[in-house]
Amino acid sequence: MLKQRSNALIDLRARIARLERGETDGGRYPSMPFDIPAIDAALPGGGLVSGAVHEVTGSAAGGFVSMLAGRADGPVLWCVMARSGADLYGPGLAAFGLDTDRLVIARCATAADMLWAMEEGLRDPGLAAVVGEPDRAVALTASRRLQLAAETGGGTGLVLRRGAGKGDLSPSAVFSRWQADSVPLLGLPDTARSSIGGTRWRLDLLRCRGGGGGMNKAWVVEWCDATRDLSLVSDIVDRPGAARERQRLAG
Amino acid sequence: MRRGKGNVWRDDPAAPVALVAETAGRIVVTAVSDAASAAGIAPEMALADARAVLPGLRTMPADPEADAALRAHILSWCGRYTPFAAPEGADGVWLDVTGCAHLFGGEQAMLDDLLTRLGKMGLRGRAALTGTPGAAWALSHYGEACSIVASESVRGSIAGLPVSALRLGAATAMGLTRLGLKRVGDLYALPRAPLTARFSGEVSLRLDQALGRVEEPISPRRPPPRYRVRLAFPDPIGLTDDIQAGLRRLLHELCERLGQAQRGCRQLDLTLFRVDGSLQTVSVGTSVPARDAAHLAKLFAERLGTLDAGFGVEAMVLAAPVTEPLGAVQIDSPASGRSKANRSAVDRRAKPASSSPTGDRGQKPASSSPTGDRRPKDSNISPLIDRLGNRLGFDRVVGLRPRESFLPEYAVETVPAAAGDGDVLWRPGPVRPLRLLARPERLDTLAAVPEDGPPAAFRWRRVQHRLQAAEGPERIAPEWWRLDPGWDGGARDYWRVEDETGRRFWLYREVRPRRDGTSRWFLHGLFA
Repeated sequence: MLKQRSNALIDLRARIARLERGETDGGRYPSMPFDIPAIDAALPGGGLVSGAVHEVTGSAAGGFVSMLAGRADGPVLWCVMARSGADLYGPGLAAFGLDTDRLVIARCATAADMLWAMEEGLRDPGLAAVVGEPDRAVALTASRRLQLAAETGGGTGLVLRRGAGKGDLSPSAVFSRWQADSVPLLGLPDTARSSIGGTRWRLDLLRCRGGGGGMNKAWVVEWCDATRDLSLVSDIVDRPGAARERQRLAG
Repeated sequence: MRRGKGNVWRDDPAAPVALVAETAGRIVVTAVSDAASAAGIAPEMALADARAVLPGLRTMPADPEADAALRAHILSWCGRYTPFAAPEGADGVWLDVTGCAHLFGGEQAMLDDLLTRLGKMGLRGRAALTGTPGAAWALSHYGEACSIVASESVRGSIAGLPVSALRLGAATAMGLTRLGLKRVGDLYALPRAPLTARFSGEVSLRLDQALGRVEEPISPRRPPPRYRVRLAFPDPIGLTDDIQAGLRRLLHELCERLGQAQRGCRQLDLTLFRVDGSLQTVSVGTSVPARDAAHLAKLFAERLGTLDAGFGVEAMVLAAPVTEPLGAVQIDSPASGRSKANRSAVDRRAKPASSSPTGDRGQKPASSSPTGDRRPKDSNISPLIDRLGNRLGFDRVVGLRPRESFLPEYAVETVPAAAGDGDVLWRPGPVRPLRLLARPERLDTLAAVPEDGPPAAFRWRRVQHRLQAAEGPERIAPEWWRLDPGWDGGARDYWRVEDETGRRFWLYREVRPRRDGTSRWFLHGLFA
């Protein structure tokens, strides 16, 4: 018994060490490619790694996360706070590629329930993705738990923090951090304003384990409702002019 | 042994009333009030005939479910007289009052009390109390409204009743009457053999039951659930771990029995009998029938913390009050090896009946294969839904399904997560937002709004948004068959707009202007 326990301890310690070094468990789980070479190349495993938790902030985080969950092949659990005032809307989710026949929504009353539900979902190998919308930042310990649960279950965890900016990013054990902001359509003549076309996001990969330390990657992508297709609009590499370009994009 | 029997029905003395039901394409009277009965209307009469007899007859549709509910209520109410209460036929109640009458001041007082209280509930009953159920039935149906007959005089008291008082089938009663045997007393002297030869033992059995020559037990009301296991401890236990261990044993036993019956439970009640005589009960539910001991133990694990063992627990009872058929195919949970062993034992038994894919399970694990393939779409997540449902509440674990409506808030239906599957097809059409506000929120439009266009800017939740682009309008008119105060404002023109930062909103304007000529703007949805 004691020997078993010490074995388990050794196992855990090794795993924590691996985590701290920023490795995954040797590509045990496949990744979801974006099918955009510029983005996939910046990510370890050539896509969004499954069996890991990813955090998404920004003004367009909801749409981006719906799209990611829609790309996961299998049932999706989406945990929301019960009193959010704005319910997920089926046709809108379907427009981002998340069909509701494989969506389960858990309405959690408290933040503790939310974390518990996410952890349960991530640990279940039957789920392809688990989305959580906590009303405050996930603490370091909690994020570590979620990451471990995702490694056990193999699904993709997505922590959705709407409205949160770069400023309030607390330390976290998530695998990667994204910021997705909406991008206005600019430079179109007034006559084109009667149609607002596809959805554009500016994606910032703020942090990613094993993705080349400290690199700040940014892209502008466009989602087309009709074809359910994500395409690259421009590739913003972090260079001195990037800030200016961002300003220009933000109008 | 003394037994009583009551016979109750709804009663409205004021007017002739009949309950009617439609059977085989015609409307038939199922029950009548006193006044209607006096006018010659009887059950099983066609309503047309009854109306011909009594044009002023008032009718109400029969409600068998409500009747059954009322009878069930009366049954539990009869628990005040005796624990042994059982239903009889459609409208009767057996009460075994052996040793109970003295608590109410004697048999007569008890029957009076029963009938008085029933009368206060608006019901009229007939009761008979005598030594055998058969005689009690005969006296309550064919004797006086309230009769008490001592065991030794049963023979004489039912002799004068018609033979149908012996609970005989209509054909048998008719046959006896044709032979001139009209009264129960006529049968007393007859030799048994020819009677049995002619009427297949029914007559002599019923006669013997009425006269107490054959025992006829009454089984108590509320039979204990069929799937119920019990564990008693020689010494009281108090530790949560011990309770958990006991629960595991009970679950194992119960699941074994459910497996043999090819059933799964939808609800499980665990009752702890504490040494001080009090009870502690905890229930868990499942979204689909289940009988996986490990999975069910997980559901309980969340709840065991709320149990208080008090001074100790001397017995535990685990019951599955709600069970449903469950073949060998369904249960597949990502549970431990132990539960898999349990299940495969069950599956092996059940296999010849159905060609289930469970046999493959050994070779192919349910989780994603290491080759990098995506996981299978049909993976079973009902155990997860059960765990979520038991902690968050089953009404909070939901799915979204389309509904036929043009109104955005009605076009989506929230269903229990477990119920729906298969194709979900959303009506193709204009783009819809990702989130819909529970209530549309009023917007302040800052500049003058053009007659047929969106405002140039609006203020929502104290933040100003300048519009960059807009798409619309899409007019949605209220559906006249829905009474929704939210749509009192009439038709709406919806716009999909984008502000200067690229955020998108779903706005609408009430088409009908208000008295001052302006029309109000609302925000109904968000695209992020």
